[in-house]
Amino acid sequence: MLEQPIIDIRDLSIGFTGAGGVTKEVLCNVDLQVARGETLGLVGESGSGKSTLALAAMGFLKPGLRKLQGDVSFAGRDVFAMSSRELETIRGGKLGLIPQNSGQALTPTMRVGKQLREALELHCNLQASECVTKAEDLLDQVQLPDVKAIMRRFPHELSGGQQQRVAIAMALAGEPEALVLDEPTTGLDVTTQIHILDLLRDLSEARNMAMVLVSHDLGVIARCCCRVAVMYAGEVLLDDTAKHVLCAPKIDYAKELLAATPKIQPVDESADRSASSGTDEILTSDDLALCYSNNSILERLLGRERPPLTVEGVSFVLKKGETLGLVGESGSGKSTILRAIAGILSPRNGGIDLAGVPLPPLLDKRSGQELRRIQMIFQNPDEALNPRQSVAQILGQPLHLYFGLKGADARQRSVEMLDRVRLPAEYLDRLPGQLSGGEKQRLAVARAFIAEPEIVLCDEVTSALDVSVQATVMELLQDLKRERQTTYIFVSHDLAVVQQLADQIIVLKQGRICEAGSVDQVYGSPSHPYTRKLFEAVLEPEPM
Amino acid sequence: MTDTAYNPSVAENTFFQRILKVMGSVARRPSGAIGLFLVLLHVIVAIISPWIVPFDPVAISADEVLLPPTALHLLGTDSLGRDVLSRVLEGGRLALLVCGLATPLAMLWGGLLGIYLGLRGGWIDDVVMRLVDAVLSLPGILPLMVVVVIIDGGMVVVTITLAVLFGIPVIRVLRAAAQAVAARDFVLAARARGHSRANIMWKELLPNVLDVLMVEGAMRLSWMLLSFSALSFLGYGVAPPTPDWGQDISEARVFMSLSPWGVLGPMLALSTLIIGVNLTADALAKSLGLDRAQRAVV
Amino acid sequence: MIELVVKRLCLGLVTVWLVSVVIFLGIEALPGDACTAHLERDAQGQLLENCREKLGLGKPAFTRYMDWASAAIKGDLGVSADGETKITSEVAIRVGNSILLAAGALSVGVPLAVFLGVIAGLWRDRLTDIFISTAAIFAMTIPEFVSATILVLVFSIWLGWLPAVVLTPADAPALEFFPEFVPATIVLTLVMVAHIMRMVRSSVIEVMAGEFVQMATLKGVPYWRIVMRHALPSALLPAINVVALTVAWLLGGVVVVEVVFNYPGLGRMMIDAISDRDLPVVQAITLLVAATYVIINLAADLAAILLNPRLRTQLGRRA
Repeated sequence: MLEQPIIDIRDLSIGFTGAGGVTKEVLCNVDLQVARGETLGLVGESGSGKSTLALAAMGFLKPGLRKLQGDVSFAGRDVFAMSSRELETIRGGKLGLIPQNSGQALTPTMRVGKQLREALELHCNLQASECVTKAEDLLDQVQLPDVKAIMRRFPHELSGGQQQRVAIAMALAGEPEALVLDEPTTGLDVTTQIHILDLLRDLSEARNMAMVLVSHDLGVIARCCCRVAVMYAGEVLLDDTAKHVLCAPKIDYAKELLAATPKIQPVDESADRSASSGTDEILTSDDLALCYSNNSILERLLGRERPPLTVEGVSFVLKKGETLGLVGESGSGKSTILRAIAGILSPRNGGIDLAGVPLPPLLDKRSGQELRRIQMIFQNPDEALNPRQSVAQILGQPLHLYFGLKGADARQRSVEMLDRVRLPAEYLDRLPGQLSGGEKQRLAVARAFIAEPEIVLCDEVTSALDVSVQATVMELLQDLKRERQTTYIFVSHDLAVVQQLADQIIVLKQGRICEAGSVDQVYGSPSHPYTRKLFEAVLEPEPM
Repeated sequence: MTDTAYNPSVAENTFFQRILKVMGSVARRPSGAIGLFLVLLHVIVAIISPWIVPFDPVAISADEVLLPPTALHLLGTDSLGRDVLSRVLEGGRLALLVCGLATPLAMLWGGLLGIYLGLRGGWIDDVVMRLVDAVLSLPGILPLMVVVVIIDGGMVVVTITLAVLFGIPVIRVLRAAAQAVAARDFVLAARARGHSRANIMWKELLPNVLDVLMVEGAMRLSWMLLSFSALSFLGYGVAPPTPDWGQDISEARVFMSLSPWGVLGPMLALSTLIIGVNLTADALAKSLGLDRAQRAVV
Repeated sequence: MIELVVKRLCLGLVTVWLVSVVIFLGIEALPGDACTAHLERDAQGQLLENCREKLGLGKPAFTRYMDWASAAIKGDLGVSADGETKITSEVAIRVGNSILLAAGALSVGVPLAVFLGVIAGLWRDRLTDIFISTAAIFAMTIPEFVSATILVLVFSIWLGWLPAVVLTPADAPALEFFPEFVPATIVLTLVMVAHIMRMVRSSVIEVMAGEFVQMATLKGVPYWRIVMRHALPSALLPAINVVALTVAWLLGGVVVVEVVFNYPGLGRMMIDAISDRDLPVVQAITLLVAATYVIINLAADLAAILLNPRLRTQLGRRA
């Protein structure tokens, strides 16, 4: 590198004082340079220190953290040596940040226009009237429609994608030479994500901005970055061009990461996979219509219209051992359907049959056997496992309820089940808080399967997990399915994950079925334009 | 960094182990240590005071009226010539006994009803909460005073009334806590499995709202002590001549310009007890990661 | 939006109605009635008959409730147990005095509490905060009659700066209560400052740890500008409800302080009524104070909604 790098991190260690006064390192001896106009991807799993590193580039440490050694300089000047006045000039000026969650990061009590104008006032010497035109111009550049109206809105009145665009506009206000992007698209739908990433890439090219893009998703990195640094446990393990990292990584960790990242596989449309599964229909639904909120008595008295249906016209036929994948963006009603099957939500119309017998709509009318045959696994194991119950108690609850097992018998069964999900028997006396994220999700799987269900409802079971953990959970679900002929209904927003497990697919958009069919059909030749749009938005971890 | 927050582990999953552990973490905070010390001191004094008082606290002496501190009467004497120190030492017994009984009772009925409503929701919840709102809008210690004055049944009535009245705000707090827990997926999972409501309350909700219940209990105890002593101060609590701080303060106030000693002793005793309970409650809330100033004062 | 306001108002009305029922039934549930209470338990014969006649206690409970409630709506709170005094006119004087006391405490207390809360929250765990927070714990836990006694002892008896009790008659004009109502105001201010300050402090701490404050820092916004423009508008919103609770408490619940300083407000009237066992007066004041409580909290809820853009649009959309 001939030119001086714009961001230059040398031998940086950051840590905090943990229990007992021991210093714990979050980052150790990190060296990283970003040249002008270059886009660097920082990839790693949760806890790898990638966000800490990115924020340290701005001279910012979260409360409790401190710099142990090393230097960070921006445009040749040490940011940790700067006065707060100097930092205020640089931050939001030449060095901008785009946060992970703009919904939280925009000040809720300030109108969008005012926040933008504040950024302009602080960083460019402009007259008040010029500020307004400049602000509108910036919103225009991030391709927001009807900028005058948006200026008058409060942040919560915008959609997630719009909020992110506003944050980008705000970062652009100071004519930055470098941008730090902290998981900029993580909370967004796939179709929105791709637009934001393309916008960022175009902007960086047009303005010759350097970018540091932090992400856990290799696909996101691949879309934007020419160089990639792979982080693990506070260290940069690999720093190479995107092509090398994504095609032929030199280190094992990067290889594993790449291998664990789900990818859409090419399909053979002529193959008939359904033949392998059983023939008895286990679960059917006919023209299901669902609605979350019912009118209160008062509203009904006032003759208010019923709220619109969340889900409408959903029908499917599932055979034993088959897996149905429900795909769609947030708000498409996929989890709502699961809730109706589980009996938590009563359908407005249509019904669900279990092995040819109609299921009572609500669970308190269902028999113990009917309840046992349908089990559910949730997205976030931290939420789905009672933090105050030991593993033995967690597994003991269904055992007692469905089989009347207690004491030594229940423990015996629990150990067998734990063994099946590859957790050691000692874990029986632990609390969920003492397990890692992947272990917790395997425990949640064990809790579902210990009831010996025929149907398991999986609600985004992998999306809260790191990719390497994701892979083991998916593998476990596949093994159990093969072993026990279990039928899954698998909800996910991730097309690549669904493909690994599903036989049938339903693509949902705003509660209505867009496209339904076998996996091979839908993945091979999607017919509905929305399905095609979803496929186009999938980010493959391949260099551009 | 949540290094100060209390982290559960399975070793203390039984109720008493957990209380011990929590108390340990309270005692490690300076404010908690002071608070616990004050509370324990008062409890011990209340228990052993009949054996350690230098004089009979109700013995009247016409020629030793309103004395300043002497070697014989360390805190002086009151307007009837009774030994102030002896009255101070015994003056907290009834307050601690009544509030110590009424607090668990209030937590029990208010807590259980609150958890039930938080889980159940629906029209029963609506109706009960309207009623709770209505009762909570009654001014301060007034309902307590009206009942105590009209029924006039001594400490039993006071205890029961305190337990009933102080249970009502507990309903609201525990209902909110239970609602927050009931919205989490593990409760949904238990419902979807088909567990009974009692099982969900007992196994899923209660362990998760126990922290709130403990902090709430400590706070209610301090407010109850305040109410009890105010009742005594106003002349409707402990019947004379039984020593009681609130009542003694009110009696000694009249002679305050002649001799301030009669008010200082009981005021110091009452204040240290209530401050002790409050410091403990505060430290408890911080140790459990529940900020009690955050919640509105009910 | 308007629909929501109307809905809240209706809910408030329902609560006030429930309060009246609770009070009425509560008083009914007590042993004896207004006359036996007033004339002491063992009253018998003609005296009791006369009294019952005068208060209309012969009628069934439902009729009496309806009479009482419909009169109360028209502003007539009935007559006291001795059948002599009109409650409404007596109460009106006391309400004025209570408002005077509350206004004094609020005008000093609220700004002070907010200032201290913000300072303590911003300088969390530093010496200033530790000092303010510790003082707050003392101020809110020491019983009012203890702090009042200390105040009287120091400033009235030893230093002789302030009057120890109020001697002005209840129906005197507001100005004549000065400076006699100052000690009572100080005691009340201490307690309320402590409560509001603690709430503001933890709200400031929470907001300052929020993502949007971090974002504003990383946008290069200077510290005090972040505090004033980004953090405080969010941090002070929850204070509205606490201030409302304080106002309601000041207007009805300060029995002890009014007794200690002999201040002729509602609280004093109430305790006098209780010791006279004058149930009609107790019933009337309780209803008045409870209704005030409901109305003030309703007003605070509505204010919080109007000032919070997030709630405002949510409701706007629903309506």
